[in-house]
Amino acid sequence: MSKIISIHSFRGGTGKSNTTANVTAILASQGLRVGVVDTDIQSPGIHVLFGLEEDEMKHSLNDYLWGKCNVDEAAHDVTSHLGANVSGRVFLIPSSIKAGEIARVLREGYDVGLLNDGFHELVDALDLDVLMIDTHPGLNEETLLSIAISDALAIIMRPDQQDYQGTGVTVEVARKLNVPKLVIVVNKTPQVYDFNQVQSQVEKLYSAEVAAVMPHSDEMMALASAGIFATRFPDHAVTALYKQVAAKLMA
Amino acid sequence: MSTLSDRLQEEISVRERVGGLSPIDLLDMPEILANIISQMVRRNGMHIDEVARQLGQSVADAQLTMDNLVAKGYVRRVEVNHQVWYKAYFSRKADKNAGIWSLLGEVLNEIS
Repeated sequence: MSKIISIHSFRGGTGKSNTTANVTAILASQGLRVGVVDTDIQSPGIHVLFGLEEDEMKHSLNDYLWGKCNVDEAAHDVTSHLGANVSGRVFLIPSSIKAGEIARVLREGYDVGLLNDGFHELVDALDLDVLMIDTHPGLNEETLLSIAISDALAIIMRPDQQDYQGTGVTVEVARKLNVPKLVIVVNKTPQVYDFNQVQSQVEKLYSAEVAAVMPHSDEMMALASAGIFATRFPDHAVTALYKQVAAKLMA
Repeated sequence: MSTLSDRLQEEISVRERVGGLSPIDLLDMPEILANIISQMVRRNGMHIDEVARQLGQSVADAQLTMDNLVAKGYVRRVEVNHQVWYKAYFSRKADKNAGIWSLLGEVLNEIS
């Protein structure tokens, strides 16, 4: 049975898109068919990680939401961008990077019901094992829908006081919406911190499982979204943690 | 002592009719109602037998619940393989905004 997984955070810059891309790559390397929807329509970016150029985008999520195409027509097979050793498939449904189309969404909004239908149609049309939803930070109609529809939710946070407070809000919302599986990923953790202590503190604070405490990584920063870390550095300790996150989300 | 069915019907009856839900509404609903709507969202619809199972109601009581939710605009009936399913009904943003723009149009007409 297919699974819908949302990657969310209360604040921006926590590493949602990188987490989504890395977990996706790992699941695809395990032979799964994975769809990725960039629902961050106001500030899309995950297509960069998958190496999908703007002129390669035949259709976007925006086109589907405005009735210009079926949702599967907005899916781009980006498996080849992950390298040779991928036995599964990755289909990316990007959001448009055109300023006019982003502005149109800000001005007119879109049909949340259509987005809901689209998620399910993608799973069926592409025979997906997993649908990953990369969300906009914070709470709005679209992120609430993504949380409500998910079988599993990863909340990404940094060990920062603003993130601690905001993550509490998101955990509360996820519990209200009865998300079956909730994990927290503590990202960009300074190396000087006691990672076991961070994990215990977060687990106690939210009564939720911590899937991983990810260190701040200079290699990740230097890669600068030019590719997917797990495919570039398959034997790195950070990649091992992404595999841990993937396993916990699929459990 | 009121049953789950009684409490659920009471919760539905006091709510205003809406032209579809917003995901934000799920946060305001009592748990008993939010649970079944969330299940419908997650499964992209449910057959009445499954609704009854999830609510712990008889099929007849579950049907009454669904009829009330359809009447209130929270849920819609759809046909799937010649069977009736129930799906959470999300309102279109265009519909929500239409009232505002036509009201503005009326006000402007009155002024001019």
